[in-house]
Amino acid sequence: MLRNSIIVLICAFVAGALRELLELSFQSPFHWITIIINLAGAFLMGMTYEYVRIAKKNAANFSLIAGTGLIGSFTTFSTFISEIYALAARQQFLSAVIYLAVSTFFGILLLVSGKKIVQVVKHAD
Amino acid sequence: MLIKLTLISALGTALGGEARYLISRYPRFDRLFGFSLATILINIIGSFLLAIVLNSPLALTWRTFFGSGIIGGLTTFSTFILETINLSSRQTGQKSLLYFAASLFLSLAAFALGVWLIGQ
Repeated sequence: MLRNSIIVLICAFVAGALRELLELSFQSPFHWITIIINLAGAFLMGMTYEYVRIAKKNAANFSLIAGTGLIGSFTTFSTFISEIYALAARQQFLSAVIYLAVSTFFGILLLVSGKKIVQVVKHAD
Repeated sequence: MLIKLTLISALGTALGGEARYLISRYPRFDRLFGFSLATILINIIGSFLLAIVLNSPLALTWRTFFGSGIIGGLTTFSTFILETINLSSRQTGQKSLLYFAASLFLSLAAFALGVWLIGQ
Protein backbone atom coordinates (compact mmCIF):
# COMPACT_ATOMS: atom_id res chain seq x y z
CA MET A 1 0.00 0.00 0.00
CA LEU A 2 2.66 2.51 1.08
CA ARG A 3 5.04 1.06 -1.49
CA ASN A 4 2.43 1.48 -4.26
CA SER A 5 1.69 5.03 -3.16
CA ILE A 6 5.36 5.96 -3.38
CA ILE A 7 5.63 4.38 -6.85
CA VAL A 8 2.66 6.46 -8.09
CA LEU A 9 4.08 9.60 -6.45
CA ILE A 10 7.42 9.26 -8.25
CA CYS A 11 5.92 8.30 -11.62
CA ALA A 12 3.40 11.17 -11.48
CA PHE A 13 6.25 13.58 -10.69
CA VAL A 14 8.17 12.46 -13.78
CA ALA A 15 5.07 12.58 -16.02
CA GLY A 16 4.05 16.01 -14.70
CA ALA A 17 7.52 17.41 -15.36
CA LEU A 18 7.44 16.10 -18.94
CA ARG A 19 3.93 17.48 -19.58
CA GLU A 20 4.82 20.93 -18.20
CA LEU A 21 8.09 21.04 -20.16
CA LEU A 22 6.18 20.29 -23.38
CA GLU A 23 3.37 22.78 -22.58
CA LEU A 24 5.89 25.57 -21.86
CA SER A 25 8.05 24.79 -24.90
CA PHE A 26 5.19 24.75 -27.43
CA GLN A 27 2.85 27.53 -26.40
CA SER A 28 0.21 28.65 -28.91
CA PRO A 29 -3.35 30.07 -28.75
CA PHE A 30 -4.67 26.76 -30.11
CA HIS A 31 -3.26 24.32 -27.57
CA TRP A 32 -2.31 21.60 -30.05
CA ILE A 33 0.44 20.36 -27.71
CA THR A 34 -2.26 19.26 -25.23
CA ILE A 35 -3.89 17.30 -28.08
CA ILE A 36 -0.54 15.64 -28.89
CA ILE A 37 0.05 14.80 -25.21
CA ASN A 38 -3.41 13.28 -24.81
CA LEU A 39 -3.24 11.33 -28.08
CA ALA A 40 0.22 9.94 -27.29
CA GLY A 41 -1.07 8.99 -23.84
CA ALA A 42 -4.16 7.28 -25.26
CA PHE A 43 -1.98 5.18 -27.60
CA LEU A 44 0.41 4.17 -24.79
CA MET A 45 -2.53 3.45 -22.46
CA GLY A 46 -3.98 1.05 -25.06
CA MET A 47 -0.66 -0.80 -25.26
CA THR A 48 -0.25 -0.88 -21.48
CA TYR A 49 -3.79 -2.08 -20.82
CA GLU A 50 -3.55 -4.89 -23.36
CA TYR A 51 -0.09 -5.94 -22.18
CA VAL A 52 -1.30 -6.20 -18.58
CA ARG A 53 -4.51 -7.97 -19.64
CA ILE A 54 -2.82 -10.78 -21.58
CA ALA A 55 0.39 -10.99 -19.54
CA LYS A 56 1.13 -14.52 -18.33
CA LYS A 57 2.79 -13.35 -15.15
CA ASN A 58 1.39 -10.83 -12.67
CA ALA A 59 1.84 -7.36 -14.18
CA ALA A 60 0.36 -5.31 -11.34
CA ASN A 61 3.59 -3.33 -10.90
CA PHE A 62 3.78 -2.52 -14.59
CA SER A 63 0.13 -1.41 -14.55
CA LEU A 64 0.81 0.84 -11.57
CA ILE A 65 4.00 2.39 -12.97
CA ALA A 66 2.99 2.83 -16.62
CA GLY A 67 -0.81 3.08 -16.45
CA THR A 68 -1.69 4.89 -13.24
CA GLY A 69 1.57 6.71 -12.60
CA LEU A 70 3.17 7.72 -15.89
CA ILE A 71 0.43 7.77 -18.56
CA GLY A 72 -2.49 8.63 -16.26
CA SER A 73 -0.63 11.69 -14.95
CA PHE A 74 0.90 12.66 -18.30
CA THR A 75 -2.49 13.06 -19.98
CA THR A 76 -4.92 15.61 -18.63
CA PHE A 77 -8.67 15.93 -18.96
CA SER A 78 -9.09 19.29 -17.20
CA THR A 79 -6.86 21.24 -19.61
CA PHE A 80 -8.62 19.53 -22.54
CA ILE A 81 -11.98 20.81 -21.17
CA SER A 82 -10.61 24.28 -20.35
CA GLU A 83 -9.26 24.68 -23.91
CA ILE A 84 -12.60 23.75 -25.48
CA TYR A 85 -14.34 26.20 -23.16
CA ALA A 86 -11.82 28.96 -23.93
CA LEU A 87 -12.23 28.52 -27.70
CA ALA A 88 -16.03 28.59 -27.40
CA ALA A 89 -15.87 31.66 -25.13
CA ARG A 90 -13.82 33.45 -27.84
CA GLN A 91 -16.62 32.59 -30.34
CA GLN A 92 -14.26 30.18 -32.14
CA PHE A 93 -16.88 27.45 -32.23
CA LEU A 94 -15.45 25.61 -35.23
CA SER A 95 -12.04 25.42 -33.51
CA ALA A 96 -13.70 24.20 -30.31
CA VAL A 97 -15.50 21.42 -32.20
CA ILE A 98 -12.33 20.47 -34.11
CA TYR A 99 -10.33 20.39 -30.85
CA LEU A 100 -12.90 18.11 -29.21
CA ALA A 101 -13.41 15.89 -32.26
CA VAL A 102 -9.70 15.42 -33.02
CA SER A 103 -8.87 14.64 -29.38
CA THR A 104 -11.63 12.09 -28.89
CA PHE A 105 -11.79 10.50 -32.37
CA PHE A 106 -8.05 9.98 -32.71
CA GLY A 107 -7.80 9.21 -28.98
CA ILE A 108 -10.16 6.25 -29.46
CA LEU A 109 -8.49 5.22 -32.73
CA LEU A 110 -4.98 5.33 -31.23
CA LEU A 111 -5.97 3.51 -28.03
CA VAL A 112 -7.54 0.68 -30.06
CA SER A 113 -4.44 0.63 -32.33
CA GLY A 114 -2.21 0.36 -29.25
CA LYS A 115 -4.20 -2.64 -28.04
CA LYS A 116 -4.11 -4.31 -31.48
CA ILE A 117 -0.34 -3.85 -31.84
CA VAL A 118 0.28 -5.59 -28.52
CA GLN A 119 -2.09 -8.42 -29.51
CA VAL A 120 -0.24 -8.96 -32.80
CA VAL A 121 3.21 -8.84 -31.18
CA LYS A 122 2.12 -11.22 -28.40
CA HIS A 123 0.69 -13.69 -30.93
CA ALA A 124 3.99 -13.66 -32.83
CA ASP A 125 5.83 -14.76 -29.65
CA MET B 1 11.77 30.04 -15.00
CA LEU B 2 11.22 27.04 -17.31
CA ILE B 3 12.94 24.71 -14.86
CA LYS B 4 11.23 26.29 -11.85
CA LEU B 5 7.71 25.97 -13.32
CA THR B 6 8.47 22.43 -14.52
CA LEU B 7 9.48 21.36 -11.02
CA ILE B 8 6.49 23.11 -9.41
CA SER B 9 4.13 21.41 -11.86
CA ALA B 10 5.83 18.05 -11.30
CA LEU B 11 5.41 18.40 -7.54
CA GLY B 12 1.71 19.21 -7.95
CA THR B 13 1.21 16.36 -10.44
CA ALA B 14 2.76 13.93 -7.94
CA LEU B 15 0.13 14.96 -5.38
CA GLY B 16 -2.73 14.99 -7.90
CA GLY B 17 -1.71 11.60 -9.33
CA GLU B 18 -1.50 10.17 -5.83
CA ALA B 19 -5.01 11.43 -5.03
CA ARG B 20 -6.33 9.85 -8.27
CA TYR B 21 -4.67 6.54 -7.38
CA LEU B 22 -6.15 6.50 -3.87
CA ILE B 23 -9.65 7.49 -5.05
CA SER B 24 -9.76 4.99 -7.94
CA ARG B 25 -8.61 2.02 -5.86
CA TYR B 26 -11.67 2.41 -3.64
CA PRO B 27 -13.35 -0.78 -4.88
CA ARG B 28 -16.95 0.06 -4.08
CA PHE B 29 -17.08 2.41 -7.08
CA ASP B 30 -16.64 -0.50 -9.49
CA ARG B 31 -19.17 -2.79 -7.82
CA LEU B 32 -21.92 -0.20 -7.71
CA PHE B 33 -21.98 0.78 -11.36
CA GLY B 34 -20.15 -1.94 -13.27
CA PHE B 35 -17.49 0.57 -14.26
CA SER B 36 -15.13 2.90 -12.49
CA LEU B 37 -17.20 5.86 -11.39
CA ALA B 38 -14.00 7.28 -9.94
CA THR B 39 -12.54 8.48 -13.26
CA ILE B 40 -15.65 10.29 -14.47
CA LEU B 41 -16.15 11.94 -11.05
CA ILE B 42 -12.49 12.96 -10.86
CA ASN B 43 -12.63 14.48 -14.35
CA ILE B 44 -15.83 16.45 -13.66
CA ILE B 45 -14.63 17.77 -10.28
CA GLY B 46 -11.18 18.51 -11.72
CA SER B 47 -12.70 20.56 -14.55
CA PHE B 48 -14.68 22.60 -12.00
CA LEU B 49 -11.59 23.19 -9.88
CA LEU B 50 -9.48 24.20 -12.89
CA ALA B 51 -12.03 26.89 -13.80
CA ILE B 52 -11.71 28.26 -10.25
CA VAL B 53 -7.89 28.24 -10.41
CA LEU B 54 -7.62 29.78 -13.91
CA ASN B 55 -10.05 32.58 -13.07
CA SER B 56 -8.62 33.43 -9.65
CA PRO B 57 -6.04 36.20 -9.13
CA LEU B 58 -3.20 33.77 -8.41
CA ALA B 59 0.52 34.23 -9.04
CA LEU B 60 1.87 32.17 -11.98
CA THR B 61 3.73 29.77 -9.70
CA TRP B 62 0.59 28.95 -7.65
CA ARG B 63 -1.52 28.74 -10.82
CA THR B 64 0.99 26.22 -12.20
CA PHE B 65 1.13 24.26 -8.92
CA PHE B 66 -2.67 23.93 -8.60
CA GLY B 67 -3.69 24.04 -12.29
CA SER B 68 -1.31 22.01 -14.41
CA GLY B 69 0.14 20.36 -11.29
CA ILE B 70 -2.45 19.03 -8.84
CA ILE B 71 -5.51 19.18 -11.12
CA GLY B 72 -3.54 18.18 -14.24
CA GLY B 73 -2.29 15.09 -12.41
CA LEU B 74 -5.66 14.36 -10.84
CA THR B 75 -7.67 14.32 -14.07
CA THR B 76 -6.79 11.91 -16.84
CA PHE B 77 -7.62 11.79 -20.54
CA SER B 78 -6.13 8.37 -21.27
CA THR B 79 -8.28 6.53 -18.72
CA PHE B 80 -11.36 8.40 -19.97
CA ILE B 81 -10.74 7.00 -23.48
CA LEU B 82 -9.88 3.55 -22.06
CA GLU B 83 -13.12 3.37 -20.04
CA THR B 84 -15.11 4.40 -23.13
CA ILE B 85 -13.55 1.58 -25.18
CA ASN B 86 -13.87 -1.03 -22.44
CA LEU B 87 -17.56 -0.26 -21.91
CA SER B 88 -18.26 -0.60 -25.63
CA SER B 89 -16.74 -4.07 -25.84
CA ARG B 90 -18.54 -5.30 -22.72
CA GLN B 91 -22.05 -3.96 -23.33
CA THR B 92 -24.13 -2.97 -26.32
CA GLY B 93 -22.31 0.30 -26.69
CA GLN B 94 -25.08 2.32 -25.07
CA LYS B 95 -23.27 2.55 -21.75
CA SER B 96 -20.08 3.53 -23.55
CA LEU B 97 -21.78 6.38 -25.39
CA LEU B 98 -23.45 7.55 -22.17
CA TYR B 99 -20.11 7.52 -20.31
CA PHE B 100 -18.43 9.41 -23.16
CA ALA B 101 -21.14 12.06 -23.52
CA ALA B 102 -21.65 12.48 -19.76
CA SER B 103 -17.90 12.96 -19.20
CA LEU B 104 -17.71 15.71 -21.81
CA PHE B 105 -21.01 17.45 -21.12
CA LEU B 106 -20.85 17.40 -17.31
CA SER B 107 -17.18 18.47 -17.28
CA LEU B 108 -17.88 21.41 -19.61
CA ALA B 109 -20.89 22.35 -17.45
CA ALA B 110 -18.76 22.06 -14.30
CA PHE B 111 -16.09 24.27 -15.87
CA ALA B 112 -18.72 26.87 -16.87
CA LEU B 113 -20.12 26.74 -13.32
CA GLY B 114 -16.66 27.45 -11.93
CA VAL B 115 -16.18 30.41 -14.29
CA TRP B 116 -19.62 31.75 -13.32
CA LEU B 117 -18.98 31.34 -9.57
CA ILE B 118 -15.71 33.30 -9.76
CA GLY B 119 -17.44 36.01 -11.80
CA GLN B 120 -20.00 36.57 -9.03
